[in-house]
This record gives sequence, C-alpha cells and structure tokens, in this order.
Amino acid sequence: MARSRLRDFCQDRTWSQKGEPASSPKKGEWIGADQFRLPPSFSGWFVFHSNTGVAQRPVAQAISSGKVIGLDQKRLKELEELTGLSLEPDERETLKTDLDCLERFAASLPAGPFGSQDMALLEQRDPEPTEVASLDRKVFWENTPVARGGFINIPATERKKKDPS
Amino acid sequence: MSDYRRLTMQEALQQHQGGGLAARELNSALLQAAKVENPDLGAYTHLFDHDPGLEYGVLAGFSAAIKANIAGCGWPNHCGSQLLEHYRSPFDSTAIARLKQAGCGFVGINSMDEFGMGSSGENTRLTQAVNPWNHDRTAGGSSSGTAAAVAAGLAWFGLGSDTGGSVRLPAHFCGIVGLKPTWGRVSRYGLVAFASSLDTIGVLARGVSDAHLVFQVLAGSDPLDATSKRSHYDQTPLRKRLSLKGLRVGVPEELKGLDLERGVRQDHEESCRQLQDQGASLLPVRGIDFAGTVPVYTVINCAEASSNLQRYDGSLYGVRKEGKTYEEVSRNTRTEGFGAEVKRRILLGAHVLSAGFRQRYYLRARSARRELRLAFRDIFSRVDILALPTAPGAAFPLGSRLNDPVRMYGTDSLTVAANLAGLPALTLPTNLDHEGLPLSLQLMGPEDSEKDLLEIGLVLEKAFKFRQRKAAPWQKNG
Repeated sequence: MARSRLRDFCQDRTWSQKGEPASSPKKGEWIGADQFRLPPSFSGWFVFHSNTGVAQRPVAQAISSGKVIGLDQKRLKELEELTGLSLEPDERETLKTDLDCLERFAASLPAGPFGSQDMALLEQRDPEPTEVASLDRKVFWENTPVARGGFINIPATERKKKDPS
Repeated sequence: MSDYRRLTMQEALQQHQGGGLAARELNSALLQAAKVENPDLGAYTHLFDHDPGLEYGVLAGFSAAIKANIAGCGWPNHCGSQLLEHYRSPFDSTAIARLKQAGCGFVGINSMDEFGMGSSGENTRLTQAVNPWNHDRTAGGSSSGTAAAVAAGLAWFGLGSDTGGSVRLPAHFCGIVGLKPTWGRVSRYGLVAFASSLDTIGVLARGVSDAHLVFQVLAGSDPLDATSKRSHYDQTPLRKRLSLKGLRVGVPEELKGLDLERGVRQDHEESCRQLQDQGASLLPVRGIDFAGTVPVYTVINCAEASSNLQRYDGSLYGVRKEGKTYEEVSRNTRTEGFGAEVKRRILLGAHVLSAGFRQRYYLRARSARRELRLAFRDIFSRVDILALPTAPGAAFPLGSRLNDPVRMYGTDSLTVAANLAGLPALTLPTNLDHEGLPLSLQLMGPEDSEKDLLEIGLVLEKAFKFRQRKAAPWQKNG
C-alpha cells in the first residue's frame, strides 16, 4: 500500500512523467536523472533526499543544439558551458583524453537484456520488495527542498496543486 | 598502558572492570598521540582541542574520528575540497547527533578524497593521508584519513561514507573492520551528497564488536531523512556463536576470471578454508558480473554527482570567486574550487544525462542495476552470505594510478555491487601479504542482514587472530 502510494506520488508529476520533460530535447541537451521516479521495488533508490536541506539547482541552461557525436572538442566545450566549468587548454586536453577513455569505458556496460525495450519486461519481473520505506507525507514535505520552493523548474501553481499538505 | 592503542572499546571496558585504566584516561593519551603523529600520517585536517563527550552513554569515554563530509555543528565540513575549505556546518547530522547522545567524544575531522570521489585518498585538495602500515602506500579511499586514524590507534573508531566502497577499501588497505550498512539503515541527513542513491554512512573500527556497538547507536529511522528505513534495528547484543555450522556461504565463480593479485587470491582461499573449519558450507554461485558493475557504477555515480554538485556555485557554500554576472561568479568558483577528478565526473555525468546519450548510458546503467539486484536476490535465496575479497590487491604505491582513471576505478570492482544493490557488507582483516600490507575478507549479505554479518564476523575475527598476530602499524614503523 505504502509502496503504491509512493510510486503514484513519484510518477504522478508532469515534470517527471516517464522521466522525460514535456518538450523533446535536442541532441546534446541536458535532461537529468530520473531522480524523482521510484523504480519498482527499490526502496533504496529514492534519492529525493533531505540530507543537506538544500535544493539541487537544476543544471543551468540548455546548451546550443546541433549535431554532437562523441566527446570531441566541441562537445567538451558544450559540457563545460553546461556545467559551469571553464578549463585551461592543457587541462582540457588531459580531461578530454580521460573522458574519451571513460566514455568508452561507460559504453562497455554489460550486454544483455538491458535495452530500453526490455524495461517494461524487467519491471514485470521485478519482485515485490521485502520492506518498503513508508512515507509520512507531512514530514516528507516539511523536510524536502520542494517544500521550500527549491526546485525552480517546477511551476509554482503545479507545486501548490500537488502539495498534499 | 603502552599498548592501549591496539585495544578495542570492548577490551578497554573489560580491562577497566578488571581494575585497569578507565576509557576516559586512555582517551587522553590517545588524543596526545594524535597531536604528535598526525603531521606524518595526515589522517586529520583538524584536531579538536578537547571534546571528551558525556559522562554517561554507551560510548562515554571514547572518541571518534569523523570524515569531513559528515556535518557536525560548528565543525569543518570541507569534503576534501578547496571550495569548502573554510565552510563550517551550522547543524549536526543525525549520525553525529546520535553519537553525541551516546556520550561519544571526537578527536577531529579527517582528510578524504574530494567529495568522496576516489579510491586512494589522493584526490584530496587538502591534507593527504598515508597508509599507517607503509607511508609510501595509499590508505585507500575515500575515507582515507578516518581509516588511517583508526588503524594507527589515533581514534577508537571512525565514521566514513561508502558510495562505491569508500569504507571497505580503506578498511582493507589499513587492516581494520569496515561496515557498510544497507542503504537507508543509517540516516543520510547531514551527509554531503555525492551520489544519493548509493551513499551510506559506515563504521570503521578495530574490532567487530566495536563496529556493532557504534552501528547500534547509528541505525534507525529518521524523520529528517525520508529515505531512511522505518523498521527498527534489533538492539540486542551480538550472539556469540561457537561455530558457523549450518551457514551456507556463496563463493562467486566470477572471481576466477578477475585480475586479482596472487596474494589476494591465496588469502581468499585461506579465508574460505577458515570458514569451512568453522563449520560453514561453501557453495559456488554465479550471476554477479563484478567487472561489469564498474561501468554501471561509473555512469550512475557521475550522473548523480553532476546533479548534486551543481549547488556549489559560490552563492550558498564555501569559497566565492568574484565575477560581473551570476554565470561568471559560478564559473570562476567552480573552476577554481573543484579538483580534476571532480571536474571529470561532473563533465561525464552531464554527458551521460544529455539527449542522445542518456539512452545509451544512463538508462542502460539503470537497467543493469536492476538486473544486478535480481541476481543478488536469486543468489541469496540459495546461500546466506557471499564471501569475496575486498579489493583486487593490497595498498598500492602513492601516485601509481593517478594518471589512469579507469585502472583506479577498477580498484572498486569488488565493492560497488553492494552499493548498486543497496546491500550491507563487512570487511574483516585477515592477514598480511608478502610486503607486510593488510589483506581482508568481504562478507556480503541480503538487505538488513548487518547483525548476521557481524555475528559471523565475530567468529571469523577470532579465527583470523589478525590483531593478536600482527604488529601494529606504529610498532612496525618504529
């Protein structure tokens, strides 16, 4: 019961439906993690945390669109702009090598039934959790950045409407 | 008195009952030793003048070392970063508040890899800790200073955080006990966020019973952390088992294909023999691709870190570099404040969360993570615990992996699986390798099995006799 409440709560949000924003982003644009979407049965995933009591500032503005393939200099420059980092040329060169290497490393994610088309299948197979972190909504809302208006990408009206308190 | 630094808290209490010095008196000597030895060891960035704790409570008389990403009111909370070098927390984390309530005192704040991003303690922008067993070797990371302090007898125990092995790896490198609890079992309120779905506060101690004593204080639900578990942790003492008869221990078959140092492999075989000698039955299990967990972890931790660290823009915390516009202030602050490893992870995290790349990396990593959890569930329906090494090798030389991030990330190959699945794990020191560096055994159990792991650990600790057999690091270093 608590689990389904929590799931409904996490998924019933216009800004996190299926983890995608309302408008389709262009390639290279930052989308963000599905931090507010609780994967079935994983009570340990819920990262909507209050541990520092401070809102996560959404990553700046969208970067310029355009075709981006791999981690070339142009892409690196875009990422710098996106993340608010400015690298020296030699630092950029070193980091580019590292990032190229890491990108290849990340691309070595295990093969197998991990494609997005299998997501639904995986969710079906995912068994019930043995224990569920139940949610005291009042405490939850009082102690999360949303309650303080921290997430500036959520329209205030929407926030007000959804706030159960 | 001279050997008090080898004592566990339980042993100190027993000695006091037998007419020995009280913990409070031993504690003063320990604080003095910390002041003298810290400049060489680099375990602490800040030592407190005098913080003896309360007169009562289960931890009264004992002092702890605290990793610099756990908030204590008025304490430095620098996370090993220049950006937060002078930042002091205005509040107590739940973990620190609970230690204070239990009467605990505090020795100081430890050095660590910047924001917990590292496996060697070398990614710090402030003081760097070295391994107490050999000062040319890494102390492990990211809770490097905490482990070094506990191993060198400069604190009774320490609090660290474990995102991909940051408690267990330094425990392994420094020859002490490291407990990484189930995700959500210890409140994260006041733990500076790195990768929130992986972060846990863990315990570093000289003995299993000490780890249990501290863990009992920390464990439990917390209204300030909506992700903490609601169920109460069993507060009864550890049962002293006479043997491990009936225990089914899984030994992952995948270990055979991993690039482990010969000493580590031999030590693991010896540890498995000890398990059998104690009455446990060993069963080979398959299903966890340890090598494959590292890229999954890399993608997920970078993605979450890039989001979590976006808050450091010079407007709320720490150092602020001047600029004409908000963007300029933010860019200057972040560029100068963050170190190379943090920048690397932020950039990679932003990359894997961008359109056109998210599907390829982040969503696949998430699916792989879910598959890993199912694999663990299947394995734990057949065995009670898993037994594996903590790391592929013993403590490596300082600087040897700094220019090779992929190799450095490989250090975590045996630890990240527990974080990805949110499971508890316990690292126990077993022996020394041919170079005199500590090795360890890692026990991994299903969700909420900390107490079982600790009880099993208690039996194995007696069998391994690590502390009884081996010279302490400070004795070794003369």
